[in-house]
Amino acid sequence: MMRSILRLCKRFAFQLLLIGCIWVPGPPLAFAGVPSVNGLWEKGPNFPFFPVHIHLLPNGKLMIWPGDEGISGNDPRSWDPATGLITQLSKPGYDIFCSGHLFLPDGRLFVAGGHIQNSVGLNDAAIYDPAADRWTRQPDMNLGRWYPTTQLLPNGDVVVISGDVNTSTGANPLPQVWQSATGTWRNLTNAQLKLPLYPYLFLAPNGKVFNAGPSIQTRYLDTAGTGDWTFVTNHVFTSRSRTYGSAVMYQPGKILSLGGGDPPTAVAEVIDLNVTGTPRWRSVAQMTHARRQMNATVLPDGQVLVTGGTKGAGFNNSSPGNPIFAAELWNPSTEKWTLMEEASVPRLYHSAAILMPDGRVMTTGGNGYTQTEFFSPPYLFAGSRPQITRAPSNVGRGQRFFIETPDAGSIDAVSFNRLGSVTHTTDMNQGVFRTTAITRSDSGITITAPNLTTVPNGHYMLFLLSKGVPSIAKIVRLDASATNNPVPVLASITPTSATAGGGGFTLTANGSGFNSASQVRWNGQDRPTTFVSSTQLRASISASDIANAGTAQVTVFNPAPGGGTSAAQTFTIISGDTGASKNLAPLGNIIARVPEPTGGGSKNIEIIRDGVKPAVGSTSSLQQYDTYDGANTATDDWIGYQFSSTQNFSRVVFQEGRHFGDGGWFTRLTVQVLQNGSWVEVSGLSVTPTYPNANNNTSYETYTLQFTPVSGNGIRIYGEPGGNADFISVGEIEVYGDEEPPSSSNPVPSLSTMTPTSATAGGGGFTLTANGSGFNSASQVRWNGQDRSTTFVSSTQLRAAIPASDIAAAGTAQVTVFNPSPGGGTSAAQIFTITSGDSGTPENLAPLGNIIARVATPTGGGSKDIEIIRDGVKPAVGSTNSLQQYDTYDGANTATEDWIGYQFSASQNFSRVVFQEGRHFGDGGWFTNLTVQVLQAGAWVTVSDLSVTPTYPNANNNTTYETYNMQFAPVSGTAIRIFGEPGGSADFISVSEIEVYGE
Amino acid sequence: MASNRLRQGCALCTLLGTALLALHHAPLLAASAEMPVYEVYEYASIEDYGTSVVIRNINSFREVAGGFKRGNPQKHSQAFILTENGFEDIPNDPGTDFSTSYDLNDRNEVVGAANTLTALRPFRYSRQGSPQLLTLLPGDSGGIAYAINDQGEAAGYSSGENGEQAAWWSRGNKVSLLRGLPESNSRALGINDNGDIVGTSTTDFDHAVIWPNKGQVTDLGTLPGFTGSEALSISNNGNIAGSAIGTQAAPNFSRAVLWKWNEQTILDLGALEQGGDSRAIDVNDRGQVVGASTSGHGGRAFIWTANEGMRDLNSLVGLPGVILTEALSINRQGDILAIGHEQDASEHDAGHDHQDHERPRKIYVLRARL
Repeated sequence: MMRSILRLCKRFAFQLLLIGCIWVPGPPLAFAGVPSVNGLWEKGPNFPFFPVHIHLLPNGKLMIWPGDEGISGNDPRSWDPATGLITQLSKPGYDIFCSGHLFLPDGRLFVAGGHIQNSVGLNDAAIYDPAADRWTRQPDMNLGRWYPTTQLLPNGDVVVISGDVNTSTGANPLPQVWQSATGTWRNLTNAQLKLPLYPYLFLAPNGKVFNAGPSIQTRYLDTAGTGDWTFVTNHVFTSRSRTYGSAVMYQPGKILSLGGGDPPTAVAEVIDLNVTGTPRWRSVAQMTHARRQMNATVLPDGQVLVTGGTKGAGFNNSSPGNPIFAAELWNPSTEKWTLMEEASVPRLYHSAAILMPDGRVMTTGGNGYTQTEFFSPPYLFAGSRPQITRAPSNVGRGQRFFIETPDAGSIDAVSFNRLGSVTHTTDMNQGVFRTTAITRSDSGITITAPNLTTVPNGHYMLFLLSKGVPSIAKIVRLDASATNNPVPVLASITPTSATAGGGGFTLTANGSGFNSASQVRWNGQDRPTTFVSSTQLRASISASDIANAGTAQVTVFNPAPGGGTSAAQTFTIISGDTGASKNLAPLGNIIARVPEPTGGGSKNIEIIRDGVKPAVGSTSSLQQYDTYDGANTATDDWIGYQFSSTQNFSRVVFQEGRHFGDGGWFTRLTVQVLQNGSWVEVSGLSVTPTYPNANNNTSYETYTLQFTPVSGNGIRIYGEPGGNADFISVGEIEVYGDEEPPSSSNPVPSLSTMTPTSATAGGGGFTLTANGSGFNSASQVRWNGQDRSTTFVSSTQLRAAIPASDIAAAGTAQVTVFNPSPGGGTSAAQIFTITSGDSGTPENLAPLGNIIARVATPTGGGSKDIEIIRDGVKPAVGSTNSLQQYDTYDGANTATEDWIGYQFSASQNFSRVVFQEGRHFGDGGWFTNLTVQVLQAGAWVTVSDLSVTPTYPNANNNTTYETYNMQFAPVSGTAIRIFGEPGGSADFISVSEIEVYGE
Repeated sequence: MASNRLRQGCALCTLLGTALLALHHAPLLAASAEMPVYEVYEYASIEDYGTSVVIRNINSFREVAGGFKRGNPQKHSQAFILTENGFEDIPNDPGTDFSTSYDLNDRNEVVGAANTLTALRPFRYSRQGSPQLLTLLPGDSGGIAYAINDQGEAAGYSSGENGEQAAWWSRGNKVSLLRGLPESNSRALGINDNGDIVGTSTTDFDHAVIWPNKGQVTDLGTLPGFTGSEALSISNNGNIAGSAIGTQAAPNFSRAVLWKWNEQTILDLGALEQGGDSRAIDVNDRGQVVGASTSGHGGRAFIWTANEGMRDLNSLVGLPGVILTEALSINRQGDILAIGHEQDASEHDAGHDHQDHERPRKIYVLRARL
């Protein structure tokens, strides 16, 4: 009753102050009830049982299973925070109640031990794969374990310690290491010790396992060989062991031990395992409440939240007045506690708390309590939350990586919080890392991934923090096997020259081996770089970089691990004295249709000539001026410069600003010059690249508007504004005169790669893909100097049809690209090898056929050009590029089969298919089973003796662009396809590349 | 140090099972030739049920060996001898956080194990003396002594870089290796007064083994359909209690068995009605076997005799409101050491996998009255 009164007082704190409720005794801060100070509790879902074991899966769902009060733990389920749906998961086949568990580096859940009856443990171990919803049994442990603790080791192995065997044996004294490489157990027979149930274990900076309690004595376990314990030190709190207290690693190597014991204590203490010499426990401020059976959770801002527990003596004193409802928050900087809001459900024995990706903490269970709650810490009421637009799903240890965010300027910390795996007050999957070493750019930040022993490989919630306010997390896998950064290759740059004294511009770098950490360098100095794809970067080159004539060396740099610097391309800065113009913009007055805009852009119109050119794709609104003046129906819009005297004009460089939802572009545009008080349209206007005359959803693109030289005392870009609100946007306008007319010459093309590079003599005709730069619609691929039927794909890619006669005999062929006059020329040659048919070299038959697929006109996010499945481009595993793959998404459906392959005009021999999968999306992009079929006499026949290497997961393993070799008994047919059941809620598959061989 | 009194006065809570049956379940249960009636004594209640507990053996004087968290809040387990008069703590190094006794003979000798700061060490204790750490095999760092006979010979294992190796100790603390099966880890778990030792030798799975008179190891085998086995206890006349062990769920998970070493036979003791798994834990010279079995009512303590087969001890005791879940030891008179708990009024009595954790377990001694 008293507690009810207190809660009532808290709800109406202000009124109660007036009427005297302040006289009610109780913890004073509990009455504040201000979310930004004391947080806020809300009810969560009411589960079908009270979960005793909870885990945040890499897919963002919560895995739970029950136990006690007559319920078997052989009933795991998942709860999806996005939908609220609870789904039954496959069962392990035995009672996993009272087990120990953690996540392996690959995201699978390792479970050791289980329940036969109270104090009698199972010796089973199993691994649950969330992607496949499948359990895999592991070899039995030496004896049963009921209440064991598991701890991941730096190499991905798992040590299991303690747990009851049975009443006549007690706890299992033999630590065992599950060896990930072999799936077998190694007994630490030199480390026999009896530890309490569910001991608190942590990975220490020295690579050993630190036992932080609940015993008074704390120790290191060296898990190498047959093991070895070393005594470290006793707790400061020595009056009793901290049974059913808690311990967390709140910073790498730093542990907070708190509460527990009988009667419970409020005493807290810390130890720093990073120190040189013997670490010692040190007292910190006590909690407000003594607690036992409580949970401690490390938050993304580094603070530790304590929830629930009881202050009463005994094992689980739930009698009225003993459960602690108020949470407490520990600040590692001040090492002091702040009392938080009160929960409404007591959380005692068998309760759990877990950090969610949204920054809240979910509390569950306690025997008999199915109602869950969420605690929103004060940081969720302290300001707007930063956002993560995009982040890699895999990062290597110590790897520099890029996180795309519109809030780059305000991000002051990044936090990694390992996914929780909690039971009995113990999170066995702890790991935390926080960095403030941040490199910012317009579109995001670059940080270095952790490479600390205490931060093992596996999945973490990645939070961005702005003044302590966390973003919603992106789940990222820290992966030791993540590929080292490649040495980048810089094949070409555009433009290759500029006029000295000109304005800044965007440089496009083409090549390969680029990633989000790549940096374009100008004479060895980093320039703000935007990652476009693995083959393209864009960099902002400032006006000061081309202030003087000369050359600059442009390179691309990839940081460690791996990485390196590309060979240089030379950029030429042409002297301004050679007839090139100077930017006239600073000499004039800016004029615009709307001098006082009311939109989100800069209100300072001078920004259009400040020399700052944000990178393409930037979402910054304040580096551009837009003519938004409210929703209207303006039919024209313009912006430019007026001069006090007549000037000569021949070129305008126009960097557009942001594209907003309701405008920010022209639907048509031209250039006008002011002559004798009238605006006259220039003649001979060409715009490079072509202006889209529409919203292409790409901000800050730069266009060169060249025209026949003309004089006037004003110049403006003029046209019809786009969007519902009819306005335009401008990042920068430069004006040049006295310039030679632009060359309309074709460039000399550059051919950097081609695919394929070889074929078997006597084989069929095929499509050759030429990659390089300077291509246009007049470009011709030449085979030994002879034109071949060429399809223009882009300025960097052509395709050519090579007939069978071209590869009739073994030898080599010179492949070039030719651009006709004016200008133009022939590229350097690439060598194509025609191998002897007797050599046994396998021939990829893919180019010889026509592509066939269940879905010929997909509507998803992938490439719409099905030719991409044989373009020879194979993105790296883990790539998130959607456009280098074809997926059969055609809307949500329930397709029971899906397929893709090649059909041939004549029968072929097949024995192997190389299948590179594309992206895994949230709703599909994989097979749940697959095989290979061959078309024989009009019927599809499944190949025999199929083996797939590596084993295809038949599920979403959350890894994109993996390649599988599918070998089968040789067979003939007129077509071949990969066939199977599509996965995901939208039932579709994804394909990056399919090669077919008949060796 | 004076021994602790039972939490609930022994005299008050000592119950005559037959009398209670008479109160609630007439007619009285009559003793058969092999099945005695029992007086039930509640020795102690284990209030801190979230900690590890060892209750293992009872000697002829109805004294119990074990250890769990009690008394000193700095330790998570305290070794003791438990009698009807209460706890008698076994003194040990005050710095240790764990100790337990595993067995005691009729000569006031106890064996067990205790933590040092860095290892678990076997010990022997005599009421006439002080605890003595037992010698380990050369190079080893830890181990456990599980059993002691009336000659003062102890059996257990010594562990270190060479693995777990079964060992026995003379009364004079000389340690001797009991060589296990090739390429195995071994543990000696029981010893009779003849010096015959039984235990397990683990290769890919556990093998029940015997070292007759501390001699060469012999694999005792297992039941058809099972892969492994363990031997826990051997009587003076060569009866061995243990289990056949399978790999998966019931009925091939665990099955109580009795090896008759002198006859070279293995006997499947079955399981209680509607149960599949059972474990035989101890056997006496009368051929009475005790253990635990699943049943239609959950986990239950059993006694097995050749004539009566396996019987639910609860049906023989009929102690209202109490469920005996495991029978852990039986002495030469037939007195039984059992674990149980009070049945909650709301507890359903059928089909549950779990007993509520939040219920103190109790240690009972069933005095046999033929």
